[in-house]
Amino acid sequence: MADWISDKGLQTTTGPRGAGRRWGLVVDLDKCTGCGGCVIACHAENNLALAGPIDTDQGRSFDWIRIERYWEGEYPDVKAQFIPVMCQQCEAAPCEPVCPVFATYHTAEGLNAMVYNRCIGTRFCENNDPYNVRYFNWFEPALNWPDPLPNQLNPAVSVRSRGVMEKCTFCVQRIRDHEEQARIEGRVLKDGEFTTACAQSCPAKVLIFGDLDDPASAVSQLVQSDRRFRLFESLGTEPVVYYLKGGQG
Amino acid sequence: MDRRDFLKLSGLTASALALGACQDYNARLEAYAVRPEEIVPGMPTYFATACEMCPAACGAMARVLEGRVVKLEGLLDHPVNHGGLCALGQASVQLEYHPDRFYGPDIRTTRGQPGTAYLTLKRTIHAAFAATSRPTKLVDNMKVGVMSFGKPDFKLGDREWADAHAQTAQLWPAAISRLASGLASGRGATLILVGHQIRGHRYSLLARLATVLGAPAPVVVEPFGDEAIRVANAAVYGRPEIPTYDLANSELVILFGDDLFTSGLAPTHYTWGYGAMRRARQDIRGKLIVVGTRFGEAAAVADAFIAVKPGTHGAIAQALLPPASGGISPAAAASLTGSSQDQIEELARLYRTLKPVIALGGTEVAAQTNAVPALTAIAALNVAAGSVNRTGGVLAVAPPPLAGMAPPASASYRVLRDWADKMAAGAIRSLLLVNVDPFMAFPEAYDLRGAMGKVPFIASFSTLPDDGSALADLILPDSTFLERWGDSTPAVGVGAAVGNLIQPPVDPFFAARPVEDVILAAAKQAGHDLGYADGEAYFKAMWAKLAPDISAPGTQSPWVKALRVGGIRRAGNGPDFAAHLPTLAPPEAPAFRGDPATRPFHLVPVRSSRYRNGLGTALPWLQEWGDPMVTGAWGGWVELSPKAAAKLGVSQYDEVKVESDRGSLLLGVVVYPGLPEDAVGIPLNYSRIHGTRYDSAAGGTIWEATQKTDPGRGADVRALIEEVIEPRSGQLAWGSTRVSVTPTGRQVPPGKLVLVSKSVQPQENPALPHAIHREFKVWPIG
Ligand code: SF4
Ligand code: SF4
Ligand code: SF4
Repeated sequence: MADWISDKGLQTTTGPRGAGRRWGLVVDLDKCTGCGGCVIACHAENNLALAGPIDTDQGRSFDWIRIERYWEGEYPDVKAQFIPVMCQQCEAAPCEPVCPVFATYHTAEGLNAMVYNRCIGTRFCENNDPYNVRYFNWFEPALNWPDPLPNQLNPAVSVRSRGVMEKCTFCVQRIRDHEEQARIEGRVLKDGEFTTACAQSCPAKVLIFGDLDDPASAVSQLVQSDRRFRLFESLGTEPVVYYLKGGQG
Repeated sequence: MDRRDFLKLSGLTASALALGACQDYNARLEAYAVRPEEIVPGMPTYFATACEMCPAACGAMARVLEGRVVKLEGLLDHPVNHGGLCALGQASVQLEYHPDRFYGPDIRTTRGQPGTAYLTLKRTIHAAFAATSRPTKLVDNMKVGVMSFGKPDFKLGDREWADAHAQTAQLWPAAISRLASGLASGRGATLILVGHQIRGHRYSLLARLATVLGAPAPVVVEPFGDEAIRVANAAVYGRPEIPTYDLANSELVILFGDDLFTSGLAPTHYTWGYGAMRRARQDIRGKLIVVGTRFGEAAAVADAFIAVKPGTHGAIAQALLPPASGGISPAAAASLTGSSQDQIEELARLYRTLKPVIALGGTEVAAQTNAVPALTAIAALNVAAGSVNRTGGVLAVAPPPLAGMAPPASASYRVLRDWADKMAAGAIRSLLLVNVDPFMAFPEAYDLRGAMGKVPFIASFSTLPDDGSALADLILPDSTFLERWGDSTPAVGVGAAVGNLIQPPVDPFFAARPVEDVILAAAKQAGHDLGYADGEAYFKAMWAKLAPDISAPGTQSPWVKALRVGGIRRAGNGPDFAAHLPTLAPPEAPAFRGDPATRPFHLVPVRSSRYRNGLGTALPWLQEWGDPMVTGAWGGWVELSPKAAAKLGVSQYDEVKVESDRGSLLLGVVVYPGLPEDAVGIPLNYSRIHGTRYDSAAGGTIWEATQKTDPGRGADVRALIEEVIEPRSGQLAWGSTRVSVTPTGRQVPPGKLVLVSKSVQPQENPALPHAIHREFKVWPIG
């Protein structure tokens, strides 16, 4: 532990964290089978609380990423389509300006961040979020992780308590860890060096995470696709989650 | 090198496998006063291992922080999962720290009642939890998570933990002696039932035990298994195996029955293959057509869905085959299956023109009385299309890299039932349930409880309470796969020879012990020295045979090399199949139990990605995760088509009585667009009578802390299923039951039908978003 303070890489680092990067996520809908690996990976990585049957019934459970399915037609001519939905980390996020205490704000690298211990739980952000990806925490953590389940909790991620909003962070703890590692080594982060928990777990490689400002990154290449679209583009929220349409095209 | 050094070595070097570069530096502050020497605060260690939650055998990497396993990741470049993991694999950390894990061995004087020594131990452990501090407030997201939860290493609660350890240390010798005497008394009439986690060399060791005891080879129980598929494949490919389906390189996949990606034998492997089939090639986007009754996950991602009446899938396959080998006309197939002739003709055209093509059958087909002929016709499609032994087609399974690792075949239901009959007749004196809950494989139509009641000695090695362990005289909880040694090979072909080496990334959390350690000790006491001190010595000896084959960078011993990469893997397939095109009889009609006049609905039990083989049922993340198609969580429900619901005058959340000639259930209605009017879907294996707090039928105990009543998951659909056996494979034809549905005039009580309804689009019906977002997909697919 003592070594890090004298580490040369750290001493020579200047500038705000994350500057010069713009994180984005590409979701290729043509590959997603709705298997849910991403959903549970996010639960495990980010210490999502359990709500239990009664509270889940009341809409209080957490899924920072969820698989939605949309139906069309009547059996046998029925169709359905999966779409994984997480915080779209909008560049013009409608949830940010309505927070009276600046608990949610935009970071230099394009993350829609939450400062949990600043949040006073007005839920204005949730109300203004067109994508319905913000989750209000109704639970004291001690109550919903019966012993010894808390041993699984990831110490890199805060355990939220009752009364705050929470949502997908693009796994900011992973971004920070790898940034710090790169700083120490005096180099820039490499594309694909790390990824989010959901993307890492996806067996079909539906989710690709990376820097949209790096023209060589996989995400930058993929967003050139003719299949790309963003959710509710017309709202002008400028999400950095890009979807690639499924089907032939 | 002691174990600690060795773990450091194998663990740290394995970290290089994580995403190219995992951290070995972390500037996070931690606030513990006392810390075991090998733990570096905030610095994770990665251990290459394999997931054991299902038979797929995915390569995994365990992320360990301060002696706790916090996350599992897929092993990159592993031939099964290629870096991904499924929901069940991700939830395995909840098995490790499950609040209802057996704390230690339990010698019971009354079946179903914990012994007094065990109850004392449980009280001590609860006291230790209570004494271990836990902050409830959060801290800044970017900084520290200071937590010190009930782990014996930490200072608070130390005295209580020491007490608990002293107590379990005393319990084990007595429990092992009890097992030894149980084995001795069962001589010649011992039966060993094992679950999927007992394979590779774990299985071989139990087989040796069986031999010295004069018992039959351990019987592998796989709930609602795959025997019909193996029998059909033996007839067509010449070997009773589930071959490599090279989806990634195929142009057309025809899937009969709908559960390949979510609950089949290797969901991560097939999901990876599907993703690659769609978008990994420059100019080719492979097509997927699903033939089935219930429109589920695979149908949702398919280019076309061909709906068939229950159990008539085989007729569609036969419509694609030449008349000389038993092919039938599209018109005949249309009249047998109820699907449109145009669709069948279009499928036939695609089948003829797109190469390579793969046809494969899933559990919806295997659940019928005509499973074997139907699956034979499906496999024959691969022969007729020239897909066998061909890239992008069907390839033989590579033999395992080490003798003794081949996955043991699971027993058919008929075989299981014969053994249960022997129990009922008093011919089994000693029964070992090794990591298996046999109740998950039996419909309640068979009185397994009564049969097991006739066995004088039952020992269960279950990690979690289940219906089997509830009948045991002795509980000897097995360590989880994150706490013990093991090895595995995939249940299906994956285009490579795979031998996973499973290592213990963490010490046993409770006083569980690996089955091998217990068996070796008890056998020795019973007069049979099997030659190894414990499980670790045994696995080292087995893997030593492979040493020269293991190539990994570095200078460590071959054993350490194997640990660093999680075992051994060699690309390639088995020797080519000598496949032949069978001549098929005309399609056999499926048989159903129940009078259509009084039981108008077909029961379609749905194997879901949440409950899978029954292990997922006990894990709260999987119970709480909304089903990908239905959005349902926490237990079961009955899916009714919109038309059937309208006819019955019921809607979402209404309670209905679903009744077969065997039994009845009260369930909440989900209006489900993916079913025909005369079929209902109910998920399979969503509850246990004597389960954990999360899956018990009665409920009531989940949230002591919040004082909220849990209504329980209710009785399982196994209460309705008729005991019908597919004659050729002996498999349970669990899709052969007819049921009636009667509204009770009430809504379900709170928590009994839970729909997770949050979505981006405001909808009239919160549970089932309708009106597809056209922008998500380019229709039609052509
Ligand atoms: S990016 Fe991280 S926080 Fe966001 S959904 Fe994925 S796993 Fe969850
Ligand atoms: S893990 Fe991948 S394939 Fe599975 S649901 Fe998530 S995005 Fe879809
Ligand atoms: S498919 Fe099976 S082995 Fe693979 S991650 Fe899932 S549960 Fe584990």
